[in-house]
Amino acid sequence: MNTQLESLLKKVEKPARYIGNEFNSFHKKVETETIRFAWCFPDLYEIGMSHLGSLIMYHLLNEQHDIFCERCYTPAQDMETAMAEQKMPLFSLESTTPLHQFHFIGFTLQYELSYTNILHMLTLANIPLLASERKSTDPLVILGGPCAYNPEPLAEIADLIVIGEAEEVILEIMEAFRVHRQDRDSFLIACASLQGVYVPSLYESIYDEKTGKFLKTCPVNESAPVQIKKRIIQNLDTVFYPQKPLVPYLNVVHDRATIELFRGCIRGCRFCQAGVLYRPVREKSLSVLIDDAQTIIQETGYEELSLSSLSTSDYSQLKNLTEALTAQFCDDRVGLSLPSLRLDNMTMEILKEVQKVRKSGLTFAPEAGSQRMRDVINKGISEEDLVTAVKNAYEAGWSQVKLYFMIGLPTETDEDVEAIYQLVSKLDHEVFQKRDKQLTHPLRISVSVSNFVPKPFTPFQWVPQDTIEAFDAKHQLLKEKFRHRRSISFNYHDAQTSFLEGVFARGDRRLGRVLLKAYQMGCRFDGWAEHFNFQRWMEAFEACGIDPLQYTTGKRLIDEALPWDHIDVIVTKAFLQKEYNKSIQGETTPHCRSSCSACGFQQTHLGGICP
Amino acid sequence: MMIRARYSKTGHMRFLSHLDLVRLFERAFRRAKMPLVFTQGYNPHPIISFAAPLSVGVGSIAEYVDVQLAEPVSPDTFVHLMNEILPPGIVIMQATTKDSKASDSLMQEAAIMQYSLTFKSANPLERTSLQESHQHFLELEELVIEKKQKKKNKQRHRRNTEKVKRIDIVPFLYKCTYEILEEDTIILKLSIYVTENGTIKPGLILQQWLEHCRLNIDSDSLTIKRTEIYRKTESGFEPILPVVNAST
Repeated sequence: MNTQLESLLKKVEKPARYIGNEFNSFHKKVETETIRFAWCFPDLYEIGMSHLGSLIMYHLLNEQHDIFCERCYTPAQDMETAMAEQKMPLFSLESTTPLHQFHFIGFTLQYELSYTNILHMLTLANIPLLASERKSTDPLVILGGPCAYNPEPLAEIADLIVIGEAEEVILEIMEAFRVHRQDRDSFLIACASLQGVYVPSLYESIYDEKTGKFLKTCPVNESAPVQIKKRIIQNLDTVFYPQKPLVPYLNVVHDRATIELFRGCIRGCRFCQAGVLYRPVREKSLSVLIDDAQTIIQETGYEELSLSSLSTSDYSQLKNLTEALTAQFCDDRVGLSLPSLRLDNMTMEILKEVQKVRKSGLTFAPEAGSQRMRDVINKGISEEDLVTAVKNAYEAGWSQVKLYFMIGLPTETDEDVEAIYQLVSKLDHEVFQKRDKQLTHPLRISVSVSNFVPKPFTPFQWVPQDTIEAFDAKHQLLKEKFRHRRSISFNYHDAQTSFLEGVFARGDRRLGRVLLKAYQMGCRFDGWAEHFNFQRWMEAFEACGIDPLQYTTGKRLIDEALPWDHIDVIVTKAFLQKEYNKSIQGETTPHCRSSCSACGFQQTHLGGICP
Repeated sequence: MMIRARYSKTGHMRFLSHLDLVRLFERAFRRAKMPLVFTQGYNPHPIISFAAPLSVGVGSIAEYVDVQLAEPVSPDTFVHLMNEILPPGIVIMQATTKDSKASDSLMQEAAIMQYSLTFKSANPLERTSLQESHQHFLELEELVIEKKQKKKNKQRHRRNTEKVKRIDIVPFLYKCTYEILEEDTIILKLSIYVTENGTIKPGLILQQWLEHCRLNIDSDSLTIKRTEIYRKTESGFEPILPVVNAST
């Protein structure tokens, strides 16, 4: 046992964050040829251990006999202080090895506001922050995850960035490393020709000399492709899925087993980035899912199994699947949880059956209050659907309903914002006030309002984001309305964090400097209200001479160059433009199962009509 | 039927909280395919109970768990199956079957907790004066400490109020001895009563003892380990589950 770590553990809150050794964790002997990979999550243990993608990559890499993948999470403030006192560099959980001794440092980008934590972890590990400053003896920094689709704000930090689903390409990168491990440059050049790998140092961004406007990002090395095409797994039935996943000791955010029903989404909500990035829809077959579930529950001992996807109601065999799993796990009291549900009747029937074992709260996402607004965002839900669903749920015994809304959507007026209140009131009135008097349980509705942040690769990638003042005014309007409704709890997100999220979501390479500056000024854990310091961020923008507003409220013309144009997600810009134009007209688009809208995938080898 | 098991919690595992440990055991029982019995209701839990919770960071070689099973499992099989899947640092040392209807719960049975506290003195030890102060400590008739208690206000505003409680620790102390290992390493052995009014944490008694003996310690060096939990019998006290084979 490491005595230095031991003495730190005695001083900090929740020392179990730093001890590793969870059920199903890996411990390998390090040989000279072992490739050492540190999988880093730029947030606390409890957040990082809840991320399915990290879990898949950890087990996938460790399946390889010559790769040892270990984990590291951002230490909390108290641990950081205790480590600094002892001059202990950031270390891996599995073997307490300092991170600078690894070959690869991998970060997953789940949220724009975790970027400073990447710099923070590299600093704590004594690894130079800029790729250009790292020497051949330093680790290679590799990034991936949803935010990597606009990689530019981190382009100067990363050595390589994975675009798309990583299960195959990560092993190809490892193979390139086996061949070129003595020569960093030839390794990077070899990686640049792999589909789904972006090597930022082989590209430069060009801006208009007079206006400073972004013009393009183009390769400066002939091995680097002009367009970096995202990587897609063709068959989810045969792709690796961890059968003996890690089981944390601490109560982490998502503390349950997970099976993945499908990737992609048929719905085409226009605000949703995941709905575009993870196309096309690919389902796992029923028998594979049942086998996965059985093995995973046996190997973990979990009491709950989550059926995960972007829209679980849309799994074509959901009823068969839940019936099989309920029968399988009923005696052992393993509950099923179904996140991301739609409100149709079939779903309600399934829920009633499933939740006989364990009853959890229900969450629906109407996203907008008025029908006009829901048409603009292509959220195919009517007021009637919602009333019926909540009524069904209440009558089936649920007393907690959570509703998610967004404000700041394109073309939104104050009436649309107020419509959120009217919709919720109507629900309360129609369902609870008019209930059958024999029902005595309460109906608690909680309303959560988030601020719309336009994201790359969505039909709304061109639209200006609401200003902080506009968000604040809308929050005030709703707060005033909900104040007198004590049975309804009302929450909203802070507008300043949404602003910063918006800047980095659609930012360009120049933001890298601001990120460094802000970090040097002390910004970290920006996603945590108690750490977030807006003033400091504004000072960092000022010091770098960059106006953050150009990235959020600045108007983008439909034909102007975008900082992520060199990334190819296969969904075409023409399709996104068409969707944008329809949205402004309030026209809806049918989902992919009812008719193909030719998003770009119809021309690939994956075929025309998605399943 | 019920199985009662004695287990150890050592190494890094001692940094798990009591709730982490409960979760660990629930999942370990499932992995070992134990025929668990569940509570009724919307959120069913296996019927498991533990003796007194350990503080985070305190190790133990005398932890106890009772688990109810729907079908008979022999103690040997239980020990074998569980140790195969438990993480290093948690080891089942002993198990017996127990009539699930009879007798007290582990919580109620625990009468005395024995701890061993090892630490280094920051200054050179003066053995004679330490012996005298220790003797004097044992002869104290009363030693009142102030214990801060956080009271969670469950009302709307969730304000936590702090209350200071005055407690005499002498009646809680069953035994207190020490041993000098090397130059400056001391082992303090404490046996503390568990009463209807609760118990006292060993760290609090250590603080008093150190103050009384005018000792400063290197706080990094302190490790606390629970070494036994005793129950009351007609003839005195005995370990809840004595370790039969001392070598395991």
